[in-house]
This record gives sequence, C-alpha cells and structure tokens, in this order.
Amino acid sequence: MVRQLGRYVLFTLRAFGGMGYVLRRPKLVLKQVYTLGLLSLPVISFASIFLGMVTALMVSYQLEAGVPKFYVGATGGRSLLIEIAPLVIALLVVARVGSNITARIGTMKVTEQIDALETMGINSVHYLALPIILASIVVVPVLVIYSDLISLVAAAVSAKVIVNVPIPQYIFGLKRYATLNDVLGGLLKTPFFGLAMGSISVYYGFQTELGAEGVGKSVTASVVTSAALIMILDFIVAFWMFR
Amino acid sequence: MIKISGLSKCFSQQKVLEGIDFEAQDGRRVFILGKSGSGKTVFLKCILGLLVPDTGKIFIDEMDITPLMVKPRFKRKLTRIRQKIGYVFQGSALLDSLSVADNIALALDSKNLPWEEQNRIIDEKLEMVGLDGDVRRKYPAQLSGGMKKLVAIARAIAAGPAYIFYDEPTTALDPAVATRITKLIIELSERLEVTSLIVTHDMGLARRAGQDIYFLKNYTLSRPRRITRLEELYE
Ligand SMILES: Nc1ncnc2c1ncn2[C@@H]1O[C@H](COP(=O)(O)OP(=O)(O)OP(=O)(O)O)[C@@H](O)[C@H]1O
Ligand SMILES: [Mg+2]
Repeated sequence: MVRQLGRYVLFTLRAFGGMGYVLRRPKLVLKQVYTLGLLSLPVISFASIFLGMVTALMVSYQLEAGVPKFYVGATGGRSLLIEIAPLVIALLVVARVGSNITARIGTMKVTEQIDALETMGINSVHYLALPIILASIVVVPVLVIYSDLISLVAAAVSAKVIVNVPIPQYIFGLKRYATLNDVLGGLLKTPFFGLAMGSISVYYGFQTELGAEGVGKSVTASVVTSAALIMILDFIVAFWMFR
Repeated sequence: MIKISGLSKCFSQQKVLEGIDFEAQDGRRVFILGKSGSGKTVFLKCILGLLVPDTGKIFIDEMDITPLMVKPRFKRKLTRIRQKIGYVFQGSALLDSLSVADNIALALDSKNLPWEEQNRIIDEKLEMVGLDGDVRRKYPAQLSGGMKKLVAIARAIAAGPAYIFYDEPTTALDPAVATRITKLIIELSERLEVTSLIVTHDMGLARRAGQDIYFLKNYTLSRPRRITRLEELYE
C-alpha cells in the first residue's frame, strides 16, 4: 500500500518532468482536452438535469410549512454549487473518462505500443501521461461549471413545475444566499479532482500487466482508487473552507 | 557490432535466458531460431533495455549499455543508443490513435526536422517498403496484418538506424506477403548496409535470408553447424 503510493507519487512527478517536452507540443494536450471533453459531455448533461431536479424536490420536501419558497433556491442551489455538482460530476468523469484512459494505456502497454515509443527515443510517460493529466486538470473544472449551469436551470424549472416555486423566487433565493465563496468552494477543488483522476488513471494504465485480464484489473483498480481519492479530497476541502 | 556475454533473465523464479553469449557482426543478417515461448522476444527487449537483464553485459558499438538501463539519470544516453536501432515488433505495435504518416513521424520526433523534410522521408520510406502514398492517411485499424508489418518496417528504418531488429516478421502472414517481407529484409540489409537481427521460428525464412544462424533452446544460444530440419528446434 505504502509502496504503491510511493510509486504513484514518483510516477506523477516523473510525468511532470516532461513539461518542457509537452509545452513544445501543445497539440498533444489539445487533442486530449477534446477527446476527454467529448467523451463526457453526453453523460454529464444527462446527469446534471436529473441532479437539478432531484435537489429541488428534496429541498422542498425537507422545508417545513411556512418557510418562504425562495429557500428552495437558496439551499438547493447552494448545495448544488458547493457539493453535489462537483462531486457527482467528478465521479462520473472517473467512470466515463478515467476508465477509458486506463484501458487505452493498458492496451498500448500489452500491444507493445509503449515499448515502441521507448525504442524510438520517446519518453512514453512524457508523451502519453502528462498530456492526459494536464487535460484532466482543465476539463474537470470546465465540466463542473457546465454542470452548475445546467443543473441550476433544471432545478429552477422543476421547482416551478413540480413544487410550484416561481422561477423569480428561486433566482432571488439563490442570489441572496449563494456567496462567491460557495461558488469558489465548489470550483476550487475541481482542478485537484482532475489531477487525481488523470494521474491515477494513467498510472494504472502504465502498471498494466501482460495477459488477458491485465487491462480489466487495471481499470477496476483505477476507478476505485480515483473515486476514493476524490472523496477524501472533497472532505479535506469542505473541512478547510466551511467548518 | 553487438556483443553479448553472460546474459541471463528470469521472471519471478521462471528462468527464460541463461548465460547467453552472442555476437552480430556489422552488416550481417543474423537469425535466432527458437520455438514459441523460448524467449526470443525477451532476448530482443533485453538488448534495448526494455527489459533489464539480471546479469550479463551488452555491448553496442563497443559500449556496455547495461549500466545505463538501471539508473534513470542515464536515460538520455540510453535513448541515444536506442536510436541506432529500429525495432519491428511482433504485433507491429503501431499507435492506434495515429495515422500511418504520424506513426512514421514519431521515429523522427527527436530530430526536429522541418515539416517538408519530414514528409519527404515518410514518402521515401513508404516507397522503400513498397507501399503507395494512399496509406499515409490511413489508421492502423484500416490496414491488413501484412500492411501493418510493412508500415512497422518503414517506421523502423525512418530514423536511419544502424541495426534493425525483426521480431517474427513473417509469422501469421500469408505466404505471398511473407515472401515479400523476406525479400525486403534482404534488400534493406544490402541497400542500407544495416545489421539485421531476426528472431523467428520460420526455418524457411532463415534458410533464404540468413547469414549467421543461432538456435535458442534450453535458455541458451547455440550455433548449429547447418540447419537441416525444423525438428531440431524441438528436440
Ligand atoms: N513481462 C513478462 N513478465 C513475465 N513473464 C514474461 C514476460 N515476458 C515474457 N515472459 C515469459 O518469458 C517466456 C518467453 O517469452 P517470449 O515472449 O520471449 O517468447 P517468444 O520466444 O518470443 O515466443 P513467441 O514465438 O510466442 O513470441 C514466456 O514463458 C513468457 O511467459
Ligand atoms: Mg515473441
């Protein structure tokens, strides 16, 4: 366990050693941003709509009679911004993108594509791992911002349709109580989620052992580890910002 | 010249190579014949440091490269030596996400050539292996096994190596393509004056193209006086 952790940290540091190499080839990163973003958009859009709807519903259910309706916007919107959207989206990205990254690199490993890079004098960690890690650091925050917008709209609309809170009241509640701190608290952690997901996914890809089960085993380990680390990070940020 | 002495490699108790001595003279086509699982691929990867040998010395052009494999700070030096070697992998190992042209361009990556020059080399190498320009834009998934092998050979010769390693170049290909690749191996070795190291279990290929022949059997290399029958490998 400790050995694994040490190897993972070392691997990530080695990847960042390729910064010069990647900066001279920005296309490598752009290509990954495009691929990872495109992979996740459908599932994120879908999830955001449902997140918004269910939050509005749950908040209005928990509010006691007599509490002004704009509180649905205040508490529901805030929970979305601070916690629900960042965490759920990050976990979804792990499931959709992280697994894909590990499988892709694991396959490259067992089909000798990584050996091929090394024989051509290309540092495979610099060439493959770093662009993916950098792209993840960019893509996860962007996806969370996108999800914030979609889920808030969905929440406002469903608050109107399902529990009959007028949209202006929802917006009023949100504006009145959601602070910049909330938005930042929600967004600040997302690059770290991206870093965790990207680096763990490539790490397990590179660790893939030869043989038929190799790739499957790596993918499972990668998804479980990324999800766990993201939840730990999430708690640390919450503890630090909102205690 | 490649010279190896006392090379051994095992994987967690499983012995694969033991006490191997070997020499490949410049410009020769050297064959290593061994049955499946005898350690041919492991042998080639040890020479490149893709696998680190347990014991032994490997000299490439007079320089012992085994110390370079273990210390990360020698990585650059090892890279420079690897660039003398073109490697045609058993499964071709083209990068799936890149077109044929980009795959070949990878071999030129460290040279920082101007774009036109790079393109010229790509065309030249594709022509050398007998592929026409149409394949440039294709992706590996769109190519047949034989075409992949040819592209892999084009990639291996792109950077102008002094050595070419072939891992089972004719296996799993139809006889016509296998013959074409056999001819290509001979032609490239003469035209580019490279040293070729070919590992295979294809006796016919060794008979037609081999100049020096080794057997890999019981973890070690031996030089038969002549190759007569395939069965010798399996005794
Ligand atoms: N990375 C590895 N880890 C553990 N064992 C390995 C590894 N690579 C090879 N081996 C083992 O070493 C032995 C030799 O494998 P190798 O791939 O060199 O055979 P080969 O002669 O190339 O066979 P083939 O003709 O089928 O390609 C096999 O028993 C294989 O299981
Ligand atoms: Mg092999």
